[in-house]
Amino acid sequence: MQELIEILKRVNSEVDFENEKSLVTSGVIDSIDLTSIIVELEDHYSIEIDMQHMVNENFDSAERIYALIKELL
Amino acid sequence: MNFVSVNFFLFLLMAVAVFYICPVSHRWKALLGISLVFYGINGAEYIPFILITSFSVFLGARKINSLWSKQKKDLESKAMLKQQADEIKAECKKKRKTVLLLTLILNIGILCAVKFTGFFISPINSLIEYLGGQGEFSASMIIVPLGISYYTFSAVGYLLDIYWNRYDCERSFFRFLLYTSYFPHILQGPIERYNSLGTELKKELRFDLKRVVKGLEIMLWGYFKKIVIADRLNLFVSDAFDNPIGNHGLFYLVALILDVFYIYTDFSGCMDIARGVSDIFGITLVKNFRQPFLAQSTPEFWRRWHITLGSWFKDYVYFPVNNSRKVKSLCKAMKKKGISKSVIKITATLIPVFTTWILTGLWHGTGKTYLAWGLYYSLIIGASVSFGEGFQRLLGKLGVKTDTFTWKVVRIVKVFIIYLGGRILLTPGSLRNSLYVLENIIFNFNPWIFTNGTFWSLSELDGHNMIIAVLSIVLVIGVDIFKETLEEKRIRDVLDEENSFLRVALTVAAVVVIMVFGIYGSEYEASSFVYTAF
Repeated sequence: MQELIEILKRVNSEVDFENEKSLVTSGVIDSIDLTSIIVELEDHYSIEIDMQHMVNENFDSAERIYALIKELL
Repeated sequence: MNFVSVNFFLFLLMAVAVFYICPVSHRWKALLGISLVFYGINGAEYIPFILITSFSVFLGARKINSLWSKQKKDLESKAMLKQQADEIKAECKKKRKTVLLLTLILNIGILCAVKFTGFFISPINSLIEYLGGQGEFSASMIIVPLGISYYTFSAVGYLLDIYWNRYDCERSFFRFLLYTSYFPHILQGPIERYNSLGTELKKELRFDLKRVVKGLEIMLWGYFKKIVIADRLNLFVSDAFDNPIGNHGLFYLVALILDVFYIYTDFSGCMDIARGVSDIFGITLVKNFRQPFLAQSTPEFWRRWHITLGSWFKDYVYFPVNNSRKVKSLCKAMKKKGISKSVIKITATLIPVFTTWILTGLWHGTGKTYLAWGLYYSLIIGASVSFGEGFQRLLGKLGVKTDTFTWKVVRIVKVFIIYLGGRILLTPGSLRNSLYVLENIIFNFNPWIFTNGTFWSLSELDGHNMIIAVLSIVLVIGVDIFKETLEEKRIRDVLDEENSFLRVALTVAAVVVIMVFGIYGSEYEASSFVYTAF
């Protein structure tokens, strides 16, 4: 989890990824950040994030992103 | 059949009677019949088109859904290695993709054929002549089914949602056909999502007098915008741009500003009528406008104007392009080369921005003007994304207070001017005319035409009618500002809290104003709503 937080911080250091629970829904991160996050995650974990995974629920918090990675690994 | 016609009122009256006479459990079937009759009255030749789209998308979605179920079943049937699971997933994905592509090719193909063929009439005639025939093919011979862009986009959105496994597919073809053909939204949208309108159409549709009254009130507001404002402004705008000649920049500028309010009141008026009609049947349609001219940036404007089209392009074009293998591979390659993060971010954004806006332009029309309009917004939004943060930092360094009322007004005016720039490309009808109008506004402004009487001789809209139009526009803007202050609340909620005599007084006043100040006459025929053409 800590590793994931570090990756997310690399994309946008101003966001409180540890505690934020509605990253996408509340517009804390925009589509540009989201693309960067996906590129970083795919690169780091060698996974493929498809359009079917592109729903707000999967990216609204670090925990949810972590759960998505676990599902794809 | 236009929403502004006696025939429509008669149709609506009969439709409401038939709908509420039917038992509750059969009302959706009555609504399907009513919708198909409405569509057929507008042109029986259109019916096969909507049936083909509805049926092919319904079947395609069913097939894709069954492939998702099969994948799930296969994966759960026994314990397996990750490699085996990946193989099953890949095989199912390949099949789903084939079904998706075939269905998309058929339906986008039909849409492109009816919309783009007119653009190639000359080459088609040359080909016919070359083959020994008579090149007599003309634009009038092409059948353009009413609302084809709207129902095709609704259906394709549903297909893609099923492809991405967002929700379960519809099992009844007739339910799905009701979703695509539902008559209040077939003319000009809104482009509804299946998980929204589909759910609404499955509710128990019981008679609710309060809701019917509210529906009629929204309709009245829509008719006020259309008949009192839009049709009045249309006289002025048509005189200015149908055949722009003469060096009077001031006249063109006033006409352009009025054109912005013409298109706003025409389109949002139609949406109000559609939502009101739908309310009478107990079905909520999503809002397509949210005070767009109070937006403080152009991207925000497009989240408030024609909301359902913007959100359709965002979900089904912008994000898929943004998340495509090619864009992601490009970003990864740039990262490996050590290119800065900000440049990678901007690149990853500009590609989907340009794709989305050029396609949005082509959705509106096929000429060069629409392509130029798409490029115009690609550049504006692209610049906003690329330089927005830097500009904010610059303002901070210059000590500009951006959370003040004056700064908000400056931003609102900026958005309006940018929108006006887009209208210069579209309204005069051709890029040559656009250039002519722009040249006149900049180099031949001729402000004295306002004092020497020439201004009023250029249009059939006289000073008296202009005052009515301007006062009505002020009222619409005032209502928009009021709505903005209400946040989640709606004007109808505010009226609910008031005494009923206020409601009655407002309704009577609206009817009187529409009757007295509406653009009528012995030879009057309400002009079609602009967005029906798309």
